[in-house]
Amino acid sequence: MFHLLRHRLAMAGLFLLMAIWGQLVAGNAWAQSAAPATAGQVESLKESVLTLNRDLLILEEELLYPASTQIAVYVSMDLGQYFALDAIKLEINNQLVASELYTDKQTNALFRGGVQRLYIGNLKSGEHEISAFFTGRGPQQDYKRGAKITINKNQEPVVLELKIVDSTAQLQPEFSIKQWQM
Amino acid sequence: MRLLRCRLLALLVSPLLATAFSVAAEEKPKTAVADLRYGVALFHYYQQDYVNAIAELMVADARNGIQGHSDNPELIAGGISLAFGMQNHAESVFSQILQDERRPQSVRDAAWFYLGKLYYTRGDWVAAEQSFNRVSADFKPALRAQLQALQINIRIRDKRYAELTPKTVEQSELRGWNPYALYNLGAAHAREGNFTQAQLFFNALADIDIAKDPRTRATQWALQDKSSTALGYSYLAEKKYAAAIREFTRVRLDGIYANQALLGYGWAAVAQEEYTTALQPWQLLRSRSLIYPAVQESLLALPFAYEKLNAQGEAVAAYELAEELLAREIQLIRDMRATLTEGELLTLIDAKPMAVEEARKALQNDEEGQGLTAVIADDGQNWLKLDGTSIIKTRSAYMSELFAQTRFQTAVLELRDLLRLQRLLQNWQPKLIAYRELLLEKQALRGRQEQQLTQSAFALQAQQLQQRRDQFATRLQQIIAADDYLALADADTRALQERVTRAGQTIARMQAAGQQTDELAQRQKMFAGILLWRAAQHYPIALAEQQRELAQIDSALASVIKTQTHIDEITATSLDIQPVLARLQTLQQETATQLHATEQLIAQQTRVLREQVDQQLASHEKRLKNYLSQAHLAVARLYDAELRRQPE
Repeated sequence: MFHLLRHRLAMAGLFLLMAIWGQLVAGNAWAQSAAPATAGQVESLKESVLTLNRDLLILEEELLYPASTQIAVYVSMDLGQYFALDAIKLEINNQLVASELYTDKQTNALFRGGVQRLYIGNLKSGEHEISAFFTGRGPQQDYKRGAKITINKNQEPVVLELKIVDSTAQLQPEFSIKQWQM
Repeated sequence: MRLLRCRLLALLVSPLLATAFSVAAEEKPKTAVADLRYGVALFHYYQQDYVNAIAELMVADARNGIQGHSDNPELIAGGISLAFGMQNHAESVFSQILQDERRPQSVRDAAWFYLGKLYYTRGDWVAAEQSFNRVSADFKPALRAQLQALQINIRIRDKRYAELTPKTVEQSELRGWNPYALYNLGAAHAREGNFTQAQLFFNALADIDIAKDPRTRATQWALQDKSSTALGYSYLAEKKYAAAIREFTRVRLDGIYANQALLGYGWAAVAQEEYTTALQPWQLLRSRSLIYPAVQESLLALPFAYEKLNAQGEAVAAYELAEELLAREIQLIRDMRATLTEGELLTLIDAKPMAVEEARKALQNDEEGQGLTAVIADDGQNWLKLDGTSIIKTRSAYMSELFAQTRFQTAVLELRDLLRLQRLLQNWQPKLIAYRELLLEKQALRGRQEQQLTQSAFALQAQQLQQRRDQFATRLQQIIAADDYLALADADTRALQERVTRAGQTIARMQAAGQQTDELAQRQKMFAGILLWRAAQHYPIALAEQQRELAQIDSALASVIKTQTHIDEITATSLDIQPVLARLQTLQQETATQLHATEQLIAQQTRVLREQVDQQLASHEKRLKNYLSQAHLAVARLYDAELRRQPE
């Protein structure tokens, strides 16, 4: 098909055109298959390591945060049209225990329905005050708001959810703390 | 429930839609989660943190599973496994879902689709097509578009694409996949030598309006450039040189296919014996970076045109320049091969991934792709979208061909995952040492406490104290109830009271014996009254003292009870240390074993990658050496011809 051109190319000793042509039409522009030789080995290793990691996580939690003293605090965002989260500070009995400056990736993950485990720690039995301070931007103004809850710690783990919810009625965000019954 | 499932589908497809050509519908924001652990898994997954996402689901599964999210956790587990390259695990999850006929159609559709994608990735086209065919017509349009694009690809592989036309492709609702399908079909026809058919598809692609979205515009331009270049070469093959030149001129001069187009332009002109016209693109080409094969070829093509124009002097000069430049480039490649180590490759792949824009800037700073600069991309790359984007990007022409191969991208993904696992295991090691020390310390503390308890007979003491307290309180209560002043009288009064009592007994005996005791009895009664009066005077003070004493006992007892409760709590909540220590030790050993296995695989994989890169550079070196030989020969030939022309 390329006989004339080939002749000329052969004269100059050049065959790159054929190579270029080959590259341009070879395979597909996307969606090629891949079956690397080590795939089975790698997947098997992944499964083993992830199983081991699971066992280690369970052991770690039992060791460091036994249920009788455990407190875990999560962050969730419902909708988030009226609030772009920048930071959260968490205090227990007026002591700062956790703070987070949020990246775009994190806020996007929250916006899409992800829930962040902000803090896990231990608490003595008795009454405690948990406070959260939210900083961020709204469509009209910047926000710095707080939410507070007093809990009574007993032998059961305490699970709290810091909720950022859009109030469609007030066209602004609402911040609250929900205690989950375990 | 339906809403949740819709959102789940959006979640599963989201990485795929992130590809440059995909047109994602406006994503609906989140959902309230019924189980926080499910939300935490999603939080990690959305940030491409697959290890932690899987870990969250696995831990939840080991306990009581995710509650309140119906089929979603299973689908999510399958999706995440697939994204993390665990195809076998994903296959078993999806197959399990499909075994249950009662599952909703939307869930079954998603499972069939991802199962099909999984088979497709493995190259099992028959199984892939069978799975895709099971997906219902109600499947989410964005995913359905991708499914149809994959089906077209399978038909291309099986050479069952003859009846497909640009029109049928248009009607397939391929959305963002449409340009790819058009290009692939054009290329397939071109490979078969059906240039007329190929041109139909390439022309259809060239006619697409470039999207306004800047994220997709660059990709669309690149694909159109590729299409025009391929079209130009297909016209060249058909000896339609003017048409070929027309197509080559449509390629943007700053695009990645400009060099190939300029080269083709020149050869199309040469084919028409328009050598002066050929000089223009080739001169421009020669001024570009020598790293590109088309530029390297222009070093020889340009003097070839000079020769045809009988400009022998310019031809010799150009060949000699080519000799010099090629020799320098060959040395550069040799240096690269000598200095490229497995360690450098590992450092590159383990580097912090860059966002798309950041990666673009970093690569732009690599002057015209002179070095081997490459970056790891952070645009949501994973095993699911291996087909759509590159995890490793470069501008180096020497590497771009290799990097474009799925085999290479797969190997890089594998290596990146292995490095993540290595880091995970490495992070556990110091923690496990600390936990072991913690347990040993706890064990020692418990031993000391137990010893202390044994020595002080703590529990017995507490019990005795309580008994004493109770007796004391009862007696005090009785005294108060009976106004028993004498019970709290001082020692002297109580001694006198005893004497008065004894006197009373004596008087009674005397009365029994018939003796006169009236006077004695009166005196005894008077003394008794005096003593009672004395005791009554002292009673409030004595009572207050007794009550204070009782309060002190109560306080001491409360303290004892508190300590006892604390000890009970420790005993109740403490782990049984020995079994935990044994468990910890097993896990420590397992961590070391897995780390060793991971490091071995990393070394093996790095070696493979290093060889691939070296082979690629070697093939470039070989081609350059070939050009250099041709340049030597051409110079010799021209000097020889000139020598023959000179009069003896």
